[in-house]
Amino acid sequence: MVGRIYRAKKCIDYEKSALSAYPKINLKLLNVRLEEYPSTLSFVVDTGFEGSILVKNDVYEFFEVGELPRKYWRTYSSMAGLITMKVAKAIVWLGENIKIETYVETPLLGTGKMLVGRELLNKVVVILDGARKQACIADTI
Amino acid sequence: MTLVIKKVDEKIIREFKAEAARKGLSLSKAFEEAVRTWLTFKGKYAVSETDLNNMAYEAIEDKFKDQSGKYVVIARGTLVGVFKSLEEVAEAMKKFDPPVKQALVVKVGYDDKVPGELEWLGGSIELKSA
Repeated sequence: MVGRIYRAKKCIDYEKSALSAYPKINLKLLNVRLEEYPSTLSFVVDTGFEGSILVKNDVYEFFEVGELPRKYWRTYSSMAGLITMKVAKAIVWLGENIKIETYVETPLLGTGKMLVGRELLNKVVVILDGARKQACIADTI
Repeated sequence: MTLVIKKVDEKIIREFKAEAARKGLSLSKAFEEAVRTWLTFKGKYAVSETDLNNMAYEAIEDKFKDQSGKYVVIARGTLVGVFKSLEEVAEAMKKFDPPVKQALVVKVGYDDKVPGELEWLGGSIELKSA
């Protein structure tokens, strides 16, 4: 037994789906002008996505002020074939002066989705409480 | 009508005449076409701001190879500066009036590492009905 205790800071309910509800977390995001996106954004937790944060095209526009050059955009191998993503810098604000420099991405072609992938998930503590159908940002005690 | 224009750059006129000849146009027809194009695209970039910024970055990126950890910022087709922190980047970006819509920001040694082909497994698969 590891004996580690986690303290949930913010929890949100899973999103209902046709068969199995899926975990979501809320994030506050800033662009490189350090302006906060006007609303708190909700993201599906997707450990199958290797990148940081995937957003829809209209959300991405807010972050274009800190875009990476085209040569550093990313290509993903998916079940639908190769997908090229535009990439911009962003800052995740977890409160209490905890800021994580990260990336937001959106498909070059297509409208995109709102999900958070492994590149960011590997930098934070997330509790997936399936029994309560809640996902929580947490810290260790 | 007849139009006389003075003090025009000789080199540009030479290139203009050569291009008109290549297209088989008289000088007056070529001038009309050029003016029409200019009027059509007035207030718009024939090349997007994103293209300009990317071209500017590619032209100067080698100069910053030894500045790992610093942020290179390109906007409006030119280098805005090299900054030590995102706070400094934000300060520089806020000085633009009107604000820039698109700019390039690269953290040298971090953002410029191309990770190769990444994976996106079945994350996009959802049941439509159970």
